[in-house]
Amino acid sequence: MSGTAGQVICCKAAVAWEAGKPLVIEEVEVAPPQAMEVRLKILYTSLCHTDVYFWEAKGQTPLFPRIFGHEAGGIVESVGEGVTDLKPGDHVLPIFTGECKDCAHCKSEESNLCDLLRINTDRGVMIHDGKSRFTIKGKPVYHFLGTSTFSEYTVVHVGCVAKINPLAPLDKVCVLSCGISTGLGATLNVAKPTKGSTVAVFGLGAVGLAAAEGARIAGASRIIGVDLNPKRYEDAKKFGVTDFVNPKDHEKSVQEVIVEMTGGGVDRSLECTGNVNAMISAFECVHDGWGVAVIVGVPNKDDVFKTHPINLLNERTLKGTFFGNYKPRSDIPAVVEKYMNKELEVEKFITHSVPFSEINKAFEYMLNGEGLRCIIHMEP
Amino acid sequence: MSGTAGQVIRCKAAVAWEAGKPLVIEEVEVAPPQAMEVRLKILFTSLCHTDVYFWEAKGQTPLFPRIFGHEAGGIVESVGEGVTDLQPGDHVLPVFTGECKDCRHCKSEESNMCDLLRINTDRGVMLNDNKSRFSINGKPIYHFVGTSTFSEYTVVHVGCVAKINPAAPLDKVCVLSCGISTGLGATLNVARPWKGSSVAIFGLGAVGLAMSSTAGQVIRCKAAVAWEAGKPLVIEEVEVAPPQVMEVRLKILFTSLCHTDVYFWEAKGQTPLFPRIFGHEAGGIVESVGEGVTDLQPGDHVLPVFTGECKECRHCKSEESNMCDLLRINTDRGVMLSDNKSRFSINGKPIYHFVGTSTFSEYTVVHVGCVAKINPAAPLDKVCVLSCGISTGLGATLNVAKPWKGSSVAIFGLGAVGLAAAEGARIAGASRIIGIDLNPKRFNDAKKFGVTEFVNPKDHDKPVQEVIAEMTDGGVDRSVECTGNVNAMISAFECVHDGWGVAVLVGVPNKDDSFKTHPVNLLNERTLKGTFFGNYKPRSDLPSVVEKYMNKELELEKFITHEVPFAEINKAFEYMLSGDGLRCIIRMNA
Repeated sequence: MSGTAGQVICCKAAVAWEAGKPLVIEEVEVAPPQAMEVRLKILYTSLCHTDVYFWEAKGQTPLFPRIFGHEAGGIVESVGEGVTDLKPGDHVLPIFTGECKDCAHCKSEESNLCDLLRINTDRGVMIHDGKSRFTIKGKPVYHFLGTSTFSEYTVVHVGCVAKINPLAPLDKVCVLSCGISTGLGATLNVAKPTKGSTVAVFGLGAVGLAAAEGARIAGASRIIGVDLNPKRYEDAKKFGVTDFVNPKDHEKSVQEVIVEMTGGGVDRSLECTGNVNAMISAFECVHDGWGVAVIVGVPNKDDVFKTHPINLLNERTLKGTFFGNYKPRSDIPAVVEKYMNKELEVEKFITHSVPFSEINKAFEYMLNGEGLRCIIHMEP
Repeated sequence: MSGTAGQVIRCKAAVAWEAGKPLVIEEVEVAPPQAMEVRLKILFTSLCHTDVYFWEAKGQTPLFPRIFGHEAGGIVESVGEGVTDLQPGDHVLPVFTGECKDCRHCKSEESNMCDLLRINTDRGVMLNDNKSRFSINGKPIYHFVGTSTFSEYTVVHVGCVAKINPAAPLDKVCVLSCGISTGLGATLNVARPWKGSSVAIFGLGAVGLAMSSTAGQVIRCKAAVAWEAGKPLVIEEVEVAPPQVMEVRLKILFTSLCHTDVYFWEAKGQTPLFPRIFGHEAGGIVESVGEGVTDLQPGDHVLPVFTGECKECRHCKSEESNMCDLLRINTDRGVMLSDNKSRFSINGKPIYHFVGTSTFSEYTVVHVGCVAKINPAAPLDKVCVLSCGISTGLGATLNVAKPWKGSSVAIFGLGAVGLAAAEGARIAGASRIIGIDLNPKRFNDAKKFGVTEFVNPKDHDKPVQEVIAEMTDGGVDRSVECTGNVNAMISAFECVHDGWGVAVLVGVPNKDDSFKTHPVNLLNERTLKGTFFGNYKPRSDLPSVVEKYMNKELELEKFITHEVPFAEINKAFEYMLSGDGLRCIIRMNA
């Protein structure tokens, strides 16, 4: 039982005061968890592009000051009223989307879009009382995605916390709380390539490489990586990618190139860039009769997906996915187990490591397109 | 297996109530066959003087009411206990005298006067139990010489039934079951004149007939030819060449009009290909097969299909696809694959095929991969509609959308394909089937197909997908788009529930249409699928769809709203162009 239960905790947090400006390590007050909330001690966190996107806040309603961060691993410090599934000391991954286990989505075998706790990028407060649990000298600092893991302590709704194997090294499995699971699940849960099949992956960042990793695990015979940046190919081989196509190298459309390479099209494709033209290519490059294209990357608000309907009548399937179709509490612990039994390799996604005080370096690496995941150590 | 086996059949019979008075067409009950009996469906019968003689009943003990007739051709409907030589679907001639195969006469090479079953003009009941199988309101009607073929159905002793070549035209060979064989055999079997001998014939009534097989020969028959785009079809005499390698020649018994025929007959905005024989929804019988064909034989009951299954390519081998590399639908081709020529000609000039079927013809030639062999007891005038539109809609729901019991389904377009999709949802146990159509007149009929609610986009200011999402607390579980209108496709996609909704596109769009949606609709875990011919593999899967009808899981009669003889085939086009009805059956035999 923690000595801090029920009390405000003073700790360090990396606060974004203004859009696009470096984060500042500040002393913040973290209120105790209220009903159905838990307070976590964050041990490791990593930077995901979605943090960068909302920190830059281009073309959105800016919400500042704010504590970003949503990929992390930590330990439960204390629980609020009504929480029975977690207790202090549990090892957990906080997740930016939740699972109340009561709504029609949570009860459906297929969906992970919980009515109560699904991702909300606009909200900066807790659902329970519409207030923030973070303050600096009494002034509130906004939450992000209900996680805000760039802080030594954070408060999260219990529905957004996955309890995992306490033996799992948190500095590795923290990356499973967003990007890697998103890509992995897109392949394993949605595209579901069969052993020996062919797969195309558009976008070879962390999500795309996780999708490729999923195809490798599933036994795909060819994994074609599509990216505009030729430097990505060498690293992509570690994730099972067997062929590389750079759309810039060809005059014809990339879907035509892929169709030619594969005698009619790939069995499965995964689109992991968010670029709407890549989405269309990903759809049109799968084989008629049985091909399935899975769209992962988040597009811009005003983008339009356009294709000729004959592509659908030729028995292609187009599916979208969100967070790999994993239910956060029900499914993520099993993903951690895949790592523990060595079916899934996570180390190769981690290319950098910095102490909390140097968190802004993680942003620099990402903005330069350098590396895949940078782990931020909260403890010095 | 026939749906009527073991049950009383109610049908029409021509009953002679009194000697010499005109027969009256009555509704009779025909009991099922007992031991060593078979029940036959009579297709054609002819009058022989012996019927007249006993109908006039001068100087004999009259036995009335009675069903006469003893020269006929038909098909076995069901068999009684102990019958092994015949099965439902066999083509037969009932004969007024029998052959038990056991008695001294039957075993003799010379005699045909079977002790058990030789002609008996006095008996009006069945041997088994001395009762009649015919009744009207429970009152018995007497049999005649064990045949009684002036009835749509009759019951006969198995020893009095000759099983014949199913390719033989019954409307011709029925005359062989009495008079013609009597005269022919008298000469060939008994008198046996030698070549060059002299013969005197006393009485020039019915003349012997020679039966010819049509296999290997050109067949001359009627076909409805489209000479020009959009002009009424003309019934012409055409020559149909015999089937070549991997082809079969079919006798078409029933065909129906599908909008795709109309579309290519109008030929707006396409390369016209005329003269052409249209038609691709039909049921028929195999007349002959070409070299290399092992899966079909003459007499098989079949549905020709506009798309095929070679069983060898990657698509055919895939569990999922039905888009055979060799035989998938080709609307441009008007000739056969094996030699790029047509099998149809008029005075030597070729007439083009249509989607490899060309069923608006009494005979047609089709690639064996495009023919589904079905249960011979299935009524071809009903199941012919399964060779295109109905299966397309049904399969879109059952094979692709796959709604679970209790789910909600939206169907866009309530024509034949959409109603078949609704029927699939009804069969799957959907709790709500929402029908969307611009024509409010369609709703009433749609209820017969399981549609529970109706939305007319014209009645609302907001887009129909929003209306549906509101009606269903977030969206339907499954939607099926059956119009081909690209805006309806987009609505069908956007009206399914996030998290688990699946939208299936069936209708064929215009060449230049563009499907447009915001990608977030996909990221919210909606699935969009296309389908072709219900994802049914024609040869592997259609027979089981016929079985769904035979075991009454699937109802077809409600799709059939009109019927015309072949000579009036243009009426079928008029009905469709007026938006009248769903399916019109065209009867090839008058």
